[in-house]
Amino acid sequence: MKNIIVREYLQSLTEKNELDYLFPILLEVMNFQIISTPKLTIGLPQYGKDIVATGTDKDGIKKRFYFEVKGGQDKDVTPSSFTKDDGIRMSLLEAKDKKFNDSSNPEFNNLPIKIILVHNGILNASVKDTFDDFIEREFTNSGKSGGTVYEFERWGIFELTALFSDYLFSEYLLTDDETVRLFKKVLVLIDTPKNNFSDYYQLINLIFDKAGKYESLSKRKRLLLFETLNIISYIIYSYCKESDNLENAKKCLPYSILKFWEWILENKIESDKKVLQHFQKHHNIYMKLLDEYFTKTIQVAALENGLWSPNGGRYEQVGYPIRTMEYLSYLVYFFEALGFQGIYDESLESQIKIDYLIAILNGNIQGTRPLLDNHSIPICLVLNYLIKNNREDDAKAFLGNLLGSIQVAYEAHKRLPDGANNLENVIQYVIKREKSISYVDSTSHLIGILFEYLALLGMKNEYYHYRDFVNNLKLDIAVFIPFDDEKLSTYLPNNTKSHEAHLFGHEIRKEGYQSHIILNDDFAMFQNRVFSSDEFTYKYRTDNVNLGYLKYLAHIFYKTPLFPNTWRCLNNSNRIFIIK
Amino acid sequence: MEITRAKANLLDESKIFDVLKTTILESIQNKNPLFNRVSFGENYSLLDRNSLIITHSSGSFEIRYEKFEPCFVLLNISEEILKEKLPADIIGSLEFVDRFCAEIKKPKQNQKWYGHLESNFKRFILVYLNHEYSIDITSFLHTVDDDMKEKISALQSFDRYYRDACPFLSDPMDKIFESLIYLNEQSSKEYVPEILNAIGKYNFSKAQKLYEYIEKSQSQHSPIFLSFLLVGIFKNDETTYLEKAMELYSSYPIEGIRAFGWINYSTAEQIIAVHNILTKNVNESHEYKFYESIFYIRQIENKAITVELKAIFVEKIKSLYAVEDDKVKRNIEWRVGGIKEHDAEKFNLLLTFINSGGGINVAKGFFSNFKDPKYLFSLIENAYLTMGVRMQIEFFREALFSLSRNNPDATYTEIKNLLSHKLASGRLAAIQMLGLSFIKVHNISLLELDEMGQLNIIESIEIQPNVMDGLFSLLIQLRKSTHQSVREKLFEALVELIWAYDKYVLESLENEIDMADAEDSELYSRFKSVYDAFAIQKENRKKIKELNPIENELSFMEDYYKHENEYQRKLMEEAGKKTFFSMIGKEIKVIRGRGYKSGYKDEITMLTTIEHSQLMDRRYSINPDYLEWTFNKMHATLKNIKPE
Repeated sequence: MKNIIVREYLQSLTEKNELDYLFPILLEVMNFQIISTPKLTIGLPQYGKDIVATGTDKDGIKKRFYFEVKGGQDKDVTPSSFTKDDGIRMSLLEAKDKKFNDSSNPEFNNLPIKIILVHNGILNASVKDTFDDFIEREFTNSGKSGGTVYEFERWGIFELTALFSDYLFSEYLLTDDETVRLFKKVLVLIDTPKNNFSDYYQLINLIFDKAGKYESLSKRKRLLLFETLNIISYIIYSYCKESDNLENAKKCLPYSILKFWEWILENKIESDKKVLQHFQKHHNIYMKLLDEYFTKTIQVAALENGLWSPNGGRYEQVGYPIRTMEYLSYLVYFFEALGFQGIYDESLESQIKIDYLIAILNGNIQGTRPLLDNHSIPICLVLNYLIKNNREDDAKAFLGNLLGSIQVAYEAHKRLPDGANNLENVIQYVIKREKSISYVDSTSHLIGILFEYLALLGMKNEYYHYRDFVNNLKLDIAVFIPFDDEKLSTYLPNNTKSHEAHLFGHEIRKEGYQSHIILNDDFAMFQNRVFSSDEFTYKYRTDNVNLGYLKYLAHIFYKTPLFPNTWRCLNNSNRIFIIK
Repeated sequence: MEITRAKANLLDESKIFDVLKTTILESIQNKNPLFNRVSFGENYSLLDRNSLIITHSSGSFEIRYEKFEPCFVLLNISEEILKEKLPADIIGSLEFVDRFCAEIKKPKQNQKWYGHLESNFKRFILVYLNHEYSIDITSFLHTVDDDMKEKISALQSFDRYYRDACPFLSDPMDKIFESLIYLNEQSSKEYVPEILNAIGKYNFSKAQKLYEYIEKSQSQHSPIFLSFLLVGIFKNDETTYLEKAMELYSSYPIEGIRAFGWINYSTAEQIIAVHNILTKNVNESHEYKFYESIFYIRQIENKAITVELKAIFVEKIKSLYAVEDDKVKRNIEWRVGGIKEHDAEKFNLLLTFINSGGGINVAKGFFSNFKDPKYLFSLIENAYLTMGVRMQIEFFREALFSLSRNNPDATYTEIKNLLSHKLASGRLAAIQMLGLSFIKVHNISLLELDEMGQLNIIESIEIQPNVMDGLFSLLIQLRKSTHQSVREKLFEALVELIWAYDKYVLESLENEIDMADAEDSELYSRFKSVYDAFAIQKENRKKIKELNPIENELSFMEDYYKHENEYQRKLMEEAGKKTFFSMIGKEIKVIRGRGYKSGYKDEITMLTTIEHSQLMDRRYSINPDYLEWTFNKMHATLKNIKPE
């Protein structure tokens, strides 16, 4: 059963680069030392050596291994894939003829050579004789006349299935009925509509439960844990890509990242460089996904009403703003994460990103039409991003439009964003003009946050205008302040986790308090109060290892509103900070 | 006696009998009470000369069966058709008439084609029995109780037949008086004033005697009966009976003013005399005010009244409207609305009614007798400027319907003027009018508006939710505008409408324009290139699964449509409670099949499909708040501006 799942999965890899990605993971857990991978040689002729590694062979002799990986259309050895230009035959001959030296490792050049053909298919019967003759002539008999000896081995689908099952999936994924069941369901359901990813979340939780404490894990088990997470993410990514819809992968993969980071924090290993490297590798799968996602969608999203869908019908009066808000969240997250990884301020790339963001905002007025209170998350992300990138005028325009839209929605339909963050409440109201009893519009954090941005951006006239609007509605406005560790132990004595662990573990609701905002008669006084407020400061360990952007992912994924320190620190004197 | 005179008249002029008989038989043959005047030639003149017909403005005429001559002829015809003599008793003779009427309705028993023939024939039969056979109709009245009416269908409406016959019966005064008292105590008491009015009108000598009898009887019913009798008798001797009315007023003000109210005065002097009396006497009773208002309202229509007097009476009506009594107020509103012509005075009064607590609702059925639409349009303009988008043209539907029939040319001119109103609220009113089924859009030319008017109308029509349901053909007229700015704005509006109605805009444009016309053809090509780009973009967008809610937001979509279905079902159920079907019986749900059959009937009733389609403005799904707000704001911000 386990092997069937693995074999079906391996057979489903239709792109060669999918196998290129997974195979080195297998080698790593098989204790090979990888010298070169396809990623490292991208753009260079590979001369039949997709992966070069050293390792101990079954005969106990340390060898250098040249792996020739064939997937996609060439996954089966057929007369065509064998004989064509740049086909299997040619690749294997080139692997033999072109030397690969590693001057940094003197021992390497003296190790015996073994060439392995890796393909996730079968050897077709019609070419078997030809193939066997070729191998015997070129490899089995090599060295008989005094030349270099080349050993050869072929790892087809059955060999790969056995290796992946034994080495990669044996520790965490396919160990018991429950994980087998969950893994299978994840694979089957990942691209189905209405998938709420509960199987995937359970699977990730189960893996971390099995892993336990970092200290108790052997080196191999640690590696297997990290690679298992990578494999799952990669499988989901490739399945979604295959079904031409990356949305589900975009929605669910952050869970694995956040749980991974929570586990790292819990085990206090965030300073371990190896661990960080593994984490970055895991995060990079997501970044690759986001890169493809936005490359595919951003041109359309930036058109007029680009995020509106012709397929939604009347639902679009709710669906369009919801989609736009989510799109903005992940777009800014992508930009923020990229910023941490590369050049930031004045680069052309940065300018392009800003231009796209502005185009999306201009094209999709729904980005300024919050339906839920926690739409403050994309709003804060966008505002912070604009302010940090010196686009203060754009931030002001966006903020003005937001408040204007809120007022328009109230005047047109007596609707304010739902503080209970329940989309069904909003749908019900939009259709029936009846508020459900759980609809909350007497208190708003979102509007409280927007007033603080008015202070931040010095928008005095707007402050007075919207203060009157809020006062007339007798609306309570506030911001959410999380408990720091000290307050957590004071107010929630049974709590055992830090604030940071809560942030990466779930939506923060009870681990904080609502701080009421008084709109002073004098704008300057209000500004002064906002900037001098010291209600919450926290030294995040995540910031210490330069991964502060992960906090945004936690806010987006768990729908925890951003904390006031993320914008209050952006007043003029501090604007040089990217993330505090 | 009327009946004796009629009989003599027919005997004197036998030709009248013959012509009437031929005419009535033709009518029965054709099942049509109307005749063509031209084809009757001399016979028409004969009947007309003897006041035996009513001639309509269309040139057709019909027989006046309320006259006794045609009824004598009818009696002759009925005896021939039924092949039997008229029975000499009340029930038998009324049943005879019913049989005759059933016969002449054949073959369509349910089609009563003959107008007032039946009721007038029955009235005649009662008078005939009374005079020919000395049958006591009045005594019979006292014997007809509810039980009899239920058992004998010919007696079901006997009170009414008696009302019609009574003025012509040979009863002595005491008997008439008794019967009036009897009727006054029955549910049919409303017949009493009609009987007395008719006696006064048709039988002066009898009316005189009756007046004296009632006056002398000193009964508690006397004052009220006198007031009814005065209304009819007045025309026979105006001086005497005006004095009598004044006498009655001095002793019994309520009954007196009731008579004052209903008398038809011939001269301004008579009216002034009554007005002077009323001015001198103050009576705060609401019943008195009720009849006082009738007097003043009826004089507005009186041809004898002077302009000055009319102005005084209008003010008087206004002051009477201030009486804190709903019955008085509703009576004034209703009677003023019923005045023919005198539009200026009626409108003047209407504004008082609206501003004195009646509210805008008073205007709803007020305009049915108006000739000039300017008053209604002034009111509509005011209402829209004050109430903005909350105002709905449905409120004025009845008034607009009346005026569009009474004076179509002037009404369409007013609509056109309103369309070019400088304020959006005014234009909104006009646009909403265009959505009314009886308003013909093709009667309006927007090209007659000035440049600003044309630009404004594009702006107003473009955002209307019903822009594609009728307004589009109006809007597209402006492609022929002489102003470049208008043509460009129209093009922009068409492009904007693509977002709302997609391909339907292109199809509508195709239907409206003339492709053989070079300018139209150029407009079409230009617009089509914009639409094609939009369509390509839309198709590309559909292909991106990541942005497709069916792929990724199906749960929310299902929630949305579940709530929408529930809501629509609820609305349908509520609407169903008010339907005709729900009132007459239980609702039958057909769960399989296309028809249904009731248990006791043979025929199968097939279900029909009721189709109604209204294009949905897709802009509403893109940004409902903004669209609604723009629509509201255009009008809401103008609330406090006073019309010129």
